[in-house]
Amino acid sequence: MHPRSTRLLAALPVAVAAVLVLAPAAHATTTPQPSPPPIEASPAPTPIPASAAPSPPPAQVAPAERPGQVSQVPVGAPETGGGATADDPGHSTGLLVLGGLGLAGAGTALALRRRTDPTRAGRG
Amino acid sequence: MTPRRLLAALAVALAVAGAVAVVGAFAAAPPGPHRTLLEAGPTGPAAGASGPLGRSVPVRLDIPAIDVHSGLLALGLDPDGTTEEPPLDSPDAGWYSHSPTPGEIGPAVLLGHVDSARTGPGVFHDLPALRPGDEVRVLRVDGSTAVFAVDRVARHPKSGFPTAEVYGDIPHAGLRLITCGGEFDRGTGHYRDNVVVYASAVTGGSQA
Repeated sequence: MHPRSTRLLAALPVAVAAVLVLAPAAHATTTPQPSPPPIEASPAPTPIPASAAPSPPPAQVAPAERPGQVSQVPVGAPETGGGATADDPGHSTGLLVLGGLGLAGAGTALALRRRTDPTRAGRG
Repeated sequence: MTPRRLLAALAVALAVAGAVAVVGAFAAAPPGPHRTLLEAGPTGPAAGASGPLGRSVPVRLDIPAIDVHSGLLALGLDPDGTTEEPPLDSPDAGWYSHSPTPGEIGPAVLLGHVDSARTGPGVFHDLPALRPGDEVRVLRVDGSTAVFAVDRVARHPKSGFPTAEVYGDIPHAGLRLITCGGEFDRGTGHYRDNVVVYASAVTGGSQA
């Protein structure tokens, strides 16, 4: 075989390979390609909280207290004694003064009767 | 009418009025400490206590030993946090509505006046005369009657009112009857003490 032919034969696979490689590329430049499907926007990763300090432990919850039998305890002592009007200072005092006047009146009446009693006249 | 007769008539009228006034003055005098009869008795539920009742608002109070027969008003709290009190001219006692109903587990609290200058002795005037074992009956709106026996009668100064002892939780159906007592403070217009009757249920109740 002619050496020139031998070289051509040896170059043939290389040429075929080049055609095979370059042909799609050439086709790509002339034929519009369907747009690739949009890439799903992956959610941004949630940032890791920069919690350098550890969160405090939950507050110690006191055991639920049993509600008292008296639901609302009053303040102070009850004022159930009649309060401000229980013993109006002027009330009893006024009655006693009136009583005294009455006794004085009774004495006066007795004295008047004695002075006007004819059976007692001239006694003594 | 001669002036002398007129004077005599006036004197007689004054004498009659005076006698009435003297009697009235002594009758209207508030009870002093010497009239109180405070008995120390056993505490806790009386023997034979039966099961507690459910909730039912009390409507009537009877204490045969001191001839108390009273309706019951519902009392709440005044804005300052103290207990509301029955009107002075009311002949009825009142039930503190934030306490258990009589017959329920806990201290049911009833309040009443000791006296009033206008109306005289109040519904709880003779409360200090109660003795241990005396019966207290409370009729409830559901027709049942809670029956209590007096455990003790105590007098507490208002300045040191034993809130926990009166209003605190107890393991049985109890009753607290509260009024005023002790010395009357003319400066404040109030008595210095409270009289508290402690009683415990002896029977859970009976349907009328």
